[in-house]
Amino acid sequence: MQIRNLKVAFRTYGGRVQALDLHRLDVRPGEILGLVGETGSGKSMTALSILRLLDRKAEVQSGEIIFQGEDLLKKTEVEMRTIRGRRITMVFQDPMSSLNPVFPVGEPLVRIIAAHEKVSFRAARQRAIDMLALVRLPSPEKVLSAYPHELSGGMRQRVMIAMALSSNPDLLLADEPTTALDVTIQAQILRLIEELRAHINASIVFITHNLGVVARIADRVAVMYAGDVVEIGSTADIFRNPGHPYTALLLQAIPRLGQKRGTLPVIEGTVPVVTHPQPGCYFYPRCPVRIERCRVERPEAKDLGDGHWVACWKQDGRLPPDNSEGNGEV
Amino acid sequence: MLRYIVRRLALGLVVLWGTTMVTFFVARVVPSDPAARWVGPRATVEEIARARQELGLDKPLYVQYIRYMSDLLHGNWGTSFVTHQPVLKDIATYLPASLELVISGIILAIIIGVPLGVISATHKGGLIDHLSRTFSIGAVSLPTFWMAMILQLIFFGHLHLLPVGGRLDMSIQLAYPVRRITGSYVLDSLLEGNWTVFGNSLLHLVLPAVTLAAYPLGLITRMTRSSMLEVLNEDYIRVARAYGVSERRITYWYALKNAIGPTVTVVALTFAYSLAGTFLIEAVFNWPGLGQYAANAVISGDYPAIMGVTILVAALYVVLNLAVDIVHALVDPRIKTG
Ligand SMILES: Nc1ncnc2c1ncn2[C@@H]1O[C@H](COP(=O)(O)OP(=O)(O)OP(=O)(O)O)[C@@H](O)[C@H]1O
Ligand SMILES: [Mg+2]
Repeated sequence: MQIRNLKVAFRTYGGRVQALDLHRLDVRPGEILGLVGETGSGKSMTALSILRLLDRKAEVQSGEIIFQGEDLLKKTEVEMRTIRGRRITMVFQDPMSSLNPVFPVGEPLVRIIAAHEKVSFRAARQRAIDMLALVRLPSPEKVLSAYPHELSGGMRQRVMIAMALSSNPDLLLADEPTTALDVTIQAQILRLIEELRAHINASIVFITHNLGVVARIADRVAVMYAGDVVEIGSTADIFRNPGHPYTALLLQAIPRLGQKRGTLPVIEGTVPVVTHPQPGCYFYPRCPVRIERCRVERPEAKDLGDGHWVACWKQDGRLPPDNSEGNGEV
Repeated sequence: MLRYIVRRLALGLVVLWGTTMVTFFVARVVPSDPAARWVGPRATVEEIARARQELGLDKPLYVQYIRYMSDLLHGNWGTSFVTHQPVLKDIATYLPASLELVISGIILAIIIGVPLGVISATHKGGLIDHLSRTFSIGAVSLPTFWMAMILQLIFFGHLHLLPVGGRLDMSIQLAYPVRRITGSYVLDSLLEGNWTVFGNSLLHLVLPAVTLAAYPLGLITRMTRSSMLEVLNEDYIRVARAYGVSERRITYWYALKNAIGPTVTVVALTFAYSLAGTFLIEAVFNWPGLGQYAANAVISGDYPAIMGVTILVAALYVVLNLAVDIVHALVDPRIKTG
């Protein structure tokens, strides 16, 4: 899947907010792509744009999203319905609110399977049970007839994963699937995804705040900032040789064992809300290594080799040595 | 569940008992001389005094109350001072007409109000939404008797399509007697296969039922719209969309089941409210129902009749409230009934 020059804006009372201005994002077949970035950087918007599920106030202004050779943005609503939940599926952040509280878990699950696979309800039910067993839910039949409130958060997220995998999709969008869970459950879900990789043919876009999680399961990493991908590359490249100062700062922000309390670096400032698109780099105001050119000209993504792209004029990702205490002047 | 129902019904009995007490004493605060009414306009002073004694009206209030309650517990609801009939029999005479009117009005309100509220929510801010909101505000706020008369003016006066009042044309009533089964002409004639009466009684029902439907219709539309709007914003609705579920199924199945709770409450409450308050509609359409009976009872100080109607309506509230809670529990498994 390839996204090119995707621009999405929100109409708000304060005027237009440029939520996405995404120049380039590729997802390769069968890979797990970690999509990271601060709150508000546009990760969820990217996923929802792919499924064309943005809310009504959001407007896709331009761009293309090529999936299996076809532009999803040109598809009709009816065509999208044959893609949603079938060739592209999504797991959402909060398993507590993702399941309909007044229906047994199996009702939508079986119905969706029956509709997509064009099989009888009985066959769909069997497939649902198999899927629930696949995600290691004990007594799948019971889970199928249980109501969401009778299941724990971890169990519900397993149900959502089962639902996402049931159609054997080509692309799985996982929007912070572990963030709402407590730490031990998070680890279990991650282990499940690792174990299931052999069964999954899909490419996975794994959205998260947590670079530790990314390091563990992603093949490649894309870093988003203010609606654009500022750096993308193999997990090893990103972690060893970050090309963008923002990536470098994010990596510094990971707490390490043995680190003294209180020395955790912070990236000063917040992601800007873009109401008036400016010519320069969006990271300019917070950037510790900025140069004059960054203010006036938006950096284009450059290939550093091996599919490691960086949108920065400096491209070496080196930070000034004193930066880990936070940068007072920015 | 069963234990819950039994407990709630027991609680309901307490409520009913409180209602009898309040109604009994409050009704007697209004000065009136039911004994005089009992014996008729030409009675002598002695006759009135004797009647007062016979009816027990000379005893202290609390004695009268205890006597009334003990009769009530034995199934005797007293005798109307006006009709000289047992109150229970009177109620059996008038209630079916009212039920026929109220039930058809409420059904009409549900059939139109729920889809209108849903469509209003799915087309929020659109033309349909604006129209339906204007419509529902109008339906709630127009005075009932005014609307009744306007309807009569149009459909009887100008178009000659519908009868102006009553439950049946007199000629049809005489020519085609209907066996009384439920007391609803529409139902009874249907059960008997008496199509002439069925058609005629249905025509008579239209205007009063439409008038009655207006208020609940407005409330149901607004309630359905607002709870649908809330539910349609929920994550699980977005999830359903993400899995290619059709908008129609999302709206009328996955969302509506979540949103219907408040509407059920509104339906039940307006039902009870309408049954107690149909007086105006019954008067304008000459509909011989419980509302007219109750209004007469109040005007003439007919204590047993007032008590009877009040107890009936209070019991209806108790039962409907319980029914609402049971429906809520059936719809939403998170609601505990234990
Ligand atoms: N309903 C909305 N109305 C207006 N603007 C919105 C709305 N939803 C999102 N945005 C804008 O879109 C931008 C991207 O939001 P998005 O939800 O994609 O961020 P995210 O990276 O997923 O953040 P998080 O990590 O918190 O989930 C935000 O900066 C915000 O300004
Ligand atoms: Mg998000």
